[in-house]
Amino acid sequence: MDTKPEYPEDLERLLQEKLRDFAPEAPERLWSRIETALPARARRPVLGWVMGFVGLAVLSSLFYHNQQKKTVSFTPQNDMKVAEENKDVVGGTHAAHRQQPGIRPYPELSKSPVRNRPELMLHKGQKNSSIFPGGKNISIDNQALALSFPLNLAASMQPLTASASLPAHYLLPLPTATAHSLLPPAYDSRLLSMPLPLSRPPAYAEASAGKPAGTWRFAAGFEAAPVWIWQTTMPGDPHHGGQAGFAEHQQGPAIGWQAGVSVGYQVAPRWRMATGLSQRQTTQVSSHAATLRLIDGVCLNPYDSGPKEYEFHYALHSGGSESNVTVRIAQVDSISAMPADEPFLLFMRTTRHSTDWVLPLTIEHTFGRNRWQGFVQGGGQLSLPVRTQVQVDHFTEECIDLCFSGGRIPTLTAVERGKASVSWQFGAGLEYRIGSHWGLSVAPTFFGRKGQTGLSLNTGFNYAFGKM
Amino acid sequence: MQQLNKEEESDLASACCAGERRAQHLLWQRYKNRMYGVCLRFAATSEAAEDMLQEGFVKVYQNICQYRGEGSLEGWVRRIIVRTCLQMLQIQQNIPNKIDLDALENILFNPETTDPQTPESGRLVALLQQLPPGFRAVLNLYVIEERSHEEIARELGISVGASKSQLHRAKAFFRKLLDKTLLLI
Repeated sequence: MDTKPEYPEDLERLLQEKLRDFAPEAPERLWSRIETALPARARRPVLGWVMGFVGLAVLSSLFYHNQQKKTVSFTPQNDMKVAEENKDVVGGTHAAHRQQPGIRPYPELSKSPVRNRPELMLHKGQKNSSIFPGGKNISIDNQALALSFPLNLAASMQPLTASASLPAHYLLPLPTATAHSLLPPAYDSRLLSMPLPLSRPPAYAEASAGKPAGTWRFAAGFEAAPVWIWQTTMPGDPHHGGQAGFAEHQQGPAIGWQAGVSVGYQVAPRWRMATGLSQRQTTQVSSHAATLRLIDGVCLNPYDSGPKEYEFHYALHSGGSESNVTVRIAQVDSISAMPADEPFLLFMRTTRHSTDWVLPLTIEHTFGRNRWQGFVQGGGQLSLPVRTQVQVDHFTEECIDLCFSGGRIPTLTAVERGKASVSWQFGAGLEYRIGSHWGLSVAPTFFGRKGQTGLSLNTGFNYAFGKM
Repeated sequence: MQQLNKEEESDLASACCAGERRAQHLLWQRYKNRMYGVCLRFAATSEAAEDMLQEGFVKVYQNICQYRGEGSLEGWVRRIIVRTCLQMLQIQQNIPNKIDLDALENILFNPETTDPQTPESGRLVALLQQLPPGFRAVLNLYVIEERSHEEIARELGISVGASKSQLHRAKAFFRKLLDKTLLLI
């Protein structure tokens, strides 16, 4: 039972003592409401994407280097070149091999037609002699072999034959049970005694490079592009947290330019990794319309007898981001005061000037010959915002009873700092080789992420160098 | 609940900043009651106080990355909650001159609104809630939050003179309410 409280004279002390640390039990159900209002745990998509790109780049590089080793194309020209280089080995006197211990000629291989040859190769690589029981200690690129001989192909393989023009040291049976059983036992011992390649034939690079650009390892250049970015309209959330949010009423694309440098690295004939650094500047204009009432704002001078001034806080969703705006609206005079609950229409025009750094990372496949080269590219780009300036102009039709402070339409500006984002990108282009080193390219490129799609018409010069 | 040292507060804030739900819940558990007390003082009803608390904590989590470890975490959270309360407080122009004794009696003796642990505090809060919003805001800010008139003027967008006069009138109003309450009890 409570006793009758005695309130001291000092009201301030009473309130401080009793209420400063007043902490009644807050309803736990509020937590679930708060939890739903919070965004999901921010993962680190940028880091993940960057890791992904790096991984993709490394894998692509490894894969295409492997391909480079594996896919020697046996065109008649190549065969002739290879045969020329190996004339001492196959179909000749084998004088050199006779002088080397453990290397014997293999004349039977020269009797079969070229087209029946399976693409079997031997490379310098890791040692793996255990798969050839009784064989010599030889080096085999197992991965290349496995790629060359899927089992279904191995089943339909012809017995190992070769023509006189084929370098014998390129031929080796597949070291798997399936492939091995397809070969007559006699071949095994003979093949195991074949001469091993000491290095890749020099004809390789020239044979597979079919265009001028393919002969250069590196490329560096400058490119510029007009840019258009279309944004999905962001939904407003008028009930979120007591602060109104307004979605775009009308919006146009963000239009601007980007310019920067690009570098490329030829990972394989016709395959190129490209990156660079560009600065992108865009401007987007969008409009908003909101129905407000004076009671939605906070009256700043409730006890003044003169015209009232109200402050409104709201968020404008435009250009893929949110701008928090505070605007003060004042009555012209107190006699013709607008009722606090009468709705009025407020128009806002938002102009966003954005500056970003863009780091693309793509892999390109080139095709075509001579001066004209086509290419397709795919990959991603990391966008790092530098600065976003938002300018908001307000308009209202209610300037008879209600007008803005100072009798003018206030223009508000705010500077925002956005977050880094990662987008996909793909495109296709055309390159014209002006000389042996210089090239001019045009490449429409699409890029985007969730809720955003963009197009840039990349045009640039590049300089290729570094012989492959 | 055990007090956190500076380092633990920074760690908790960092974890909340990273979006870790458990840390956010821990922050909520630590400060919810004190902040609910703050909201009850500013709000006119307990429902409004709950809305303020909810909105305030959402803002806390949205801005927690800005906490630099200067001052206590509780003080920082409290400032955001108070600011949210002020934003959500619809300061109305009409000031009631009459006190509804029946309504007041109902509030003061309602077991749901009176905390048995702190009956006097609960009653004082119930009385505060009877004040017009403007009075309530100024009285809370000056007396309990210990803000200066300059700060109050800046916070509420009023003049320093208006802040002083409102405080004076709010105290007189509150004293009148207290007198009525003493008659009831």
